[in-house]
This record gives sequence, structure tokens and C-alpha cells, in this order.
Amino acid sequence: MIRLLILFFIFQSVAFAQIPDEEYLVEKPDGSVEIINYIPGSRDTIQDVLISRGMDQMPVVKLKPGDLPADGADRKYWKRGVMKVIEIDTVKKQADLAAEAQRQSEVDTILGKMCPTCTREDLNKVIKNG
Amino acid sequence: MFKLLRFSLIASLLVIGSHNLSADVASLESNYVAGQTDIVSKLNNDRTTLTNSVNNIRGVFAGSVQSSGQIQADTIGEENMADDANPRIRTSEGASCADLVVSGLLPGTSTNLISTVSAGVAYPDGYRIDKTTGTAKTFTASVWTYGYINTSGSFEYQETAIDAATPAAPANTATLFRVSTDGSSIVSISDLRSTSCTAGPFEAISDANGEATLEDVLVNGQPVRQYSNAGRTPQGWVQGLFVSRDTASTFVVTQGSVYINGEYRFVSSDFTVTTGNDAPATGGSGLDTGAIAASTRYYVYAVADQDAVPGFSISYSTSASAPSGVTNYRLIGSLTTDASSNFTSSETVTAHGINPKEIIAAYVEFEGNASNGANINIDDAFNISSVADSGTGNYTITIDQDMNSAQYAAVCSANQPGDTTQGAQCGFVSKAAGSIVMRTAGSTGSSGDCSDCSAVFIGDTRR
Repeated sequence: MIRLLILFFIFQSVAFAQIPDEEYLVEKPDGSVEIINYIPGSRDTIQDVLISRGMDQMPVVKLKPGDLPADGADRKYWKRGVMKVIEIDTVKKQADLAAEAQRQSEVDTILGKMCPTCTREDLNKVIKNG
Repeated sequence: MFKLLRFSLIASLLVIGSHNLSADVASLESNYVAGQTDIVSKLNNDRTTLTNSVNNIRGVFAGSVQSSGQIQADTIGEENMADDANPRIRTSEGASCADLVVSGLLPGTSTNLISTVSAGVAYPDGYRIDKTTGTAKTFTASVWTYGYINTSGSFEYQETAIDAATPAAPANTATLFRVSTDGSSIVSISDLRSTSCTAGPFEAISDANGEATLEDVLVNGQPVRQYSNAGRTPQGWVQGLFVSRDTASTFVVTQGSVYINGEYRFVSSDFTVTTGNDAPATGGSGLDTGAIAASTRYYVYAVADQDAVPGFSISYSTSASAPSGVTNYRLIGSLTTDASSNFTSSETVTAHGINPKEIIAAYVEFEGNASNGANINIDDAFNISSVADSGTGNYTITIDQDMNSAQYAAVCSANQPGDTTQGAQCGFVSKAAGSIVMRTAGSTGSSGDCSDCSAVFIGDTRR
């Protein structure tokens, strides 16, 4: 049994081996950020990569484990932070949500005029099925 | 009278023996005393001892049988040996093989038919011959004359028509030269001497008796490819000789060494081959016949038709099997021309090597939405220096050793996170020689990160 467990853990490490990389945050002029996973030992240096991307004059921070948010749901709103390396741009997010709500309201209004007796579910089916 | 004879005998034996006793260990009986009763026996013993010493007979007996005569140990020093029997001389002249010519024994060109074969040293059949003076010779007009030296130290000659096959050397000789004459003069001298015992032939060189020879090693086997693009199997040694387009009107064959139809040749600098015609007999490279044509595949050959040189030339032809006007050739690759008769790189092939276009230039496999706190996990890669997360479903892949241009093929695949029923959409934008942007989307077409994302790049690259 112990041998099986040992083999299991070995298999895990072999099957899911990753290439060790270094992560860098680049702050772009519009406030958004790009995360570069750089493979050490490459012919290109990280500076070469930044130059090829036109990012060599932008602020760059080397990330440590834990600097990245746990999930990427708000990836669109990542920005370089103060208290943390990466923070969520809540202002931008709220603005986008408000804009989306406004847009949805306008859509509902138009659809409602097209089908005054349709329910919300009916309208969603129409939208989904084109 | 008897006493006089006896004295004479003893004196003569002593005289004979004295010349040879300086290095000998022969011992004689004690002094003779007049009137000894065993004087005859002693004289006979001394006679035998002196005789053996003079003749350097060791006189070793096995029981009652004397072994065959042999030179007594430590009686002849190297400095006493004649040059033609001296092993030190033989070793210093490198004569570990028969028919070696150590020096000289060549005639010179002349404005008439008379020349002098120079002094020199040779070992026909292993016998050392030292010609201390030159030997004049009047050669026959308008023939080839082969010269040899025999074990007696005399020169021998054979005449053939010009360009005739090489005759067999006479027995017990070492081959020296071939003289070519016209109607009135000696035009050229071909040096046919074997001046080194390590110069082959390849069939005679092996690590141990009965094992593979150098000839076996160089003749057999196929390098890299099992089949050339002409459908044949390239055979024998080849190193280098990669074919590549250079300009619209030239292509390059890199330096190297090659076995061509029994000929071993090498060059130490690259060929730049033009659209002009070849001249294989004098080492000229080019098109075998006619003029360069449009939209045509040309087969490139290494050619060894030039005599007595270490190098080879390049001929190319529309024929995949037999270039025109060439005798010793070997297919090494092919390339094509476009509609304007310009050489292209798109179909260039080296018969014994792999073109960079025929192998993967770069690839990467990564998780685009890592769940372990990292944004991207690169699981495996080749010739990739980075993968950047530029946004949702937006990845910039940087190629480490750039492609030669942006005209390469890129292929991708991706899965949607959590979806085991269908794959995600993926494609590329902003393709450049050193980087490419990979975009992924879910089944609805909206941008979305991918899991298990792969990208492969194939094209013209140089490392």
C-alpha cells in the first residue's frame, strides 16, 4: 500500500511537471497590466522580451508567489496596486457594471415594446436563440 | 720438424683468434707446456673454440645436438650495421611498408625529351635502395612513360598511349612517376610515389586484424535520411554539404567531406554556385547543360571528376539520377526555381540532412487560467522565452530564437476551463518573426481564458 502511495505521488509529480518560470508585471500606459511568464535560461533575456514587446520603458515588477489574485474573474480590472502588487480597479469595474446595467435596461425596453406580454424568460430565450 | 709445425699451427691459430677475441668470451686452455702429454687434446679444444669465435657460432647445445648457427649475443652493435640492414635507419625513414619512397627519384620537366631522375632513397619490396646520383633518361615522344625502381637499384619503364589505362607495375618494383611528353619535350610529371606508410589504402587500415577497415566504415551506411528526395538511399560517408538558397541566382553548398563513387573528397570552404555551366574535369561548379529554366526542380550533385586533387565540385541537373557530362557523382540535395527562373528556398532539400523547415521550430503548452495562484502555468516549451497574459483569452507568445521571417505556420488548440465536452476557439493575430498573439474564446465566441492551451510553429528558422 505504501509503495502504491509512493508511486502515486511520483506519478503526480511527473505528470504535472511544469517549467519553472518567473512572472513579471508590466504596467501599461492605460493603467492595465500585463503578466509575463518568462522562462529563465532562454536565449532572450527578460529585457529582450520587453524590448520586443515595446514595453522596455514601462514600469516592471517581478512578482513573488502569492502576488497574483487567486482567480482571474476580475482579470479585466487588474491594476498595479499600492497595498498589494495587484489590485482590482473597483472604480472601473463599477463603471463597467453600471454601463452594462444601463445597456441591459435599454435592451429590455426595446424588447418589451416588441413583445409587451413576453416574460423576462421569454425574452432571454429569444435573445439566446437569435 | 714436428716442433716447427706445431709452433706454426699454434701461432696461426692465435693470430686468427686475436682478431676476434676483443668482444668474445671464448676461453682457451691454459698455457702450453713443452712435453705435455695431452697437448694434442688441448690444441684441438682451442682450435674449436677459436673457430667458433671467428664464425660467431654460439655453440648452444641441447643435449648433444648443437643448435643452428646464430649471431652471438651482443657481438654486433647498431653502429656496425650497413644502412640497408640497419633497423634504426629503416625506422627513421618510416619504412614500415614495402615500396616506400623516402626521397627523390623524380625527373623534371624539360624543353626536350631528356631529363634526370634525381638521387633518392626507396624501399622496393622492402629492400633499401640508395641512389646517390641522378640518372639521365631520354623519354619517348608523345607517350606516357611510367617509371619504377627495382630491388636491384635499377630503373624500369613502361610506355603507354596518352590517356590510356594505368599499367600494372612490374614485379619487385616501387612506382615512382609518370612522364607525359609531346613531340619534342617533357610536358608534365605526375608524382606516383608512395611517400608515407600511413597513407592507406583504406582497406589496409583497421583497429585489429579481421575487424572493420576504414574503407568499410566510410563506404557503408546512410546518413540521417533513409531515402533522398530522388527516392534513392544515400550511401557512405558525408559531413556538411548542406544545400541552401543564397540569392535569386546563386545557391550555397557548405564545406565538408564526402564519399563519391569510390572517391574520398573534402573542401574547407563553402561553394557559391551560379547559374553558369559546370566544368567537372577542371573542378568548375554549375549547371550540367543548357540554361537555367523557370519553375524547375534541380538536383544537386557532389562531383569528383578532377584527378589528383583532394576537393570536389558541384553540378546540378534536371535529372534525378544522371547529370550530364559527369562520371563520379553523388546526389546531395535539390532546389527549385520560380516562374522568373530565380532560385527559391521553399523546396530546398539536403539529401543527407534535415532542413530546419522540416522540424518543429517552436512549441508551447500552457494553462491559461492557472488555479494555483499563478496566472499562467507553462507546462512544456521549446524555443519559447515567455508567455504573457495580455488580458482575458489574450496571450502573447515570444519565440526565443526568432523565425527568419513572419511567414511561418502557427497552429493552436485550447480547451475551455471546466468544459469537457467541447474545445475552445483559438487563433493568432499580430504574427511576427519573434512573437505572436494567441486569442482564445469559448464556444459562444466571447473571449475567455483557455486551459490546456497549445501552440506549434513550423517554418524557416536558424539556430
